[in-house]
Amino acid sequence: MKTIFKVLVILVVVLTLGALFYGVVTATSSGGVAGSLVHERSVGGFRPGSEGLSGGIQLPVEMIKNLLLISMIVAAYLKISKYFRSQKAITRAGI
Amino acid sequence: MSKQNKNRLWLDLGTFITLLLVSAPRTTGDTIHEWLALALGGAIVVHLLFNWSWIVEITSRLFTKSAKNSRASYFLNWALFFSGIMTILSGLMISRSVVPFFGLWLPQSGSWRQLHELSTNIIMILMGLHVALHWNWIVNMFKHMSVPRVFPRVVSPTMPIQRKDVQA
Repeated sequence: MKTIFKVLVILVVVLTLGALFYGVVTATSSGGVAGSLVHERSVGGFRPGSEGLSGGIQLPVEMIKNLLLISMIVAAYLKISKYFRSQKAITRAGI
Repeated sequence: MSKQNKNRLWLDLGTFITLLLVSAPRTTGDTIHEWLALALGGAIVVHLLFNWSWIVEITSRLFTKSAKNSRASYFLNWALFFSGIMTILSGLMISRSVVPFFGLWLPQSGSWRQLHELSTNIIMILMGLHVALHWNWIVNMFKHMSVPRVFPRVVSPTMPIQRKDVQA
């Protein structure tokens, strides 16, 4: 019962935010831009090369790229936080 | 290591791998990309349920001094949640498998595609920060898992204990 309540809370938040987003996006993109982009979609849909290659194993470049990006952010964060922690310790020690 | 922590770790790891897979639609193809993204949404709900007590606790004392250290993480998680909703919503709006599967038709607009790509990029950056903030927990969990469990030696109360500092 408790879990269902929690799931309902999450769903309500998701639906509210989703509706808000939907309203904002449709309100802002109701100009003439949408028409030309719809045309672009009807021609090709996804970007060139998204699905056209058949056969063979494709290297998951996007996946590796994203993994690299996340790793770099983690490394940078850990380095920066370590630096600040050491600075804090030096200040506290009064050196 | 408690069973709940173990479950949490495996769920998070699975969610992370799924996110990476979802981020490569050219490799997986559109159909797998869309259905996997929906499954990812479900995994995120379970992730939130696992961490429910933390969310409630920090929300209730967000602007107190005691929540100072968790505040950044809290807002980052909200931003991640926000961009996740944006990605799923924009993904549904440009869907070619999931939405038609349910017999629905949505008006097409190019701005949804742009938003989908933008929010995906934001998610990756925020996910990097999310992992970084919990890096110590992740490392500790793996350390606990890799170290074999040592059971404490049972010492009989009748057995004389030799003190190291006292010479016999």
